[in-house]
Amino acid sequence: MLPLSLLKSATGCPILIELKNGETYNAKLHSMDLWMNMSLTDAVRTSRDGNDFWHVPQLYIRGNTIKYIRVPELVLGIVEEERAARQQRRADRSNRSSGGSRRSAGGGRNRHGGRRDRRDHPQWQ
Amino acid sequence: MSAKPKGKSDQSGRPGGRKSMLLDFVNKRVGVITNDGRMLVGNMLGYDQVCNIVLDKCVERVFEPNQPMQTISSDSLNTFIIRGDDIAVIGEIDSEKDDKESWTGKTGHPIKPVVH
Repeated sequence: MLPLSLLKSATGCPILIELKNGETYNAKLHSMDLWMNMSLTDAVRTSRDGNDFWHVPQLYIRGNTIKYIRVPELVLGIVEEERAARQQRRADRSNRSSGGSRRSAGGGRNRHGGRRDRRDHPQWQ
Repeated sequence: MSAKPKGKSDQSGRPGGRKSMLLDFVNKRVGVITNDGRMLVGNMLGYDQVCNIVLDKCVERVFEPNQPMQTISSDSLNTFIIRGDDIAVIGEIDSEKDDKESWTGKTGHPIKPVVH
């Protein structure tokens, strides 16, 4: 399981982020990108010593300032569901393309009998 | 001749690449020492190219010279994504031995943070 795909699945969940400077943020994950930059909503920022708290309605964190992120365990279940759904979609798609395609020669199919892919580009022949 | 990589394909599934050394740790119990000197123990579920890792059922072990070791864990937020930048050491833990070891009452010195 890739760390970033787990984080992606945690979208909408409450998470805890600790930054390299020791501050922590308890917030709801709104969105994230490949660099672990994140936008959060409804955050509570805790100071380094744990004595001060601020409420921050919306914020953006640059990924490289993060030390670690804690996510609820139920996100692992979400990851599994998403994986199963993706496999199902892939199976459906391959069934559709292999079964019941009795077209005349040519008919939009290439010589492999499948969809056009990179190998059919002139450069690859 | 085609310029195929020489390495045999292995369990890594990556074309021609040597398998990543972290693959050995996946789904095992590991200890992680972070740059700030903390010790985290958890089941490693995954990792990526930049050594970000996922630890499930993660607890922190806190060592102090004159009081017994404490484990800090949380019921709700116990899956960690640790950023690769912050990792100093990852090591496999023999769960059987670790379970037998009675950690209660053990003391130790804290690990100093990494200085850059």
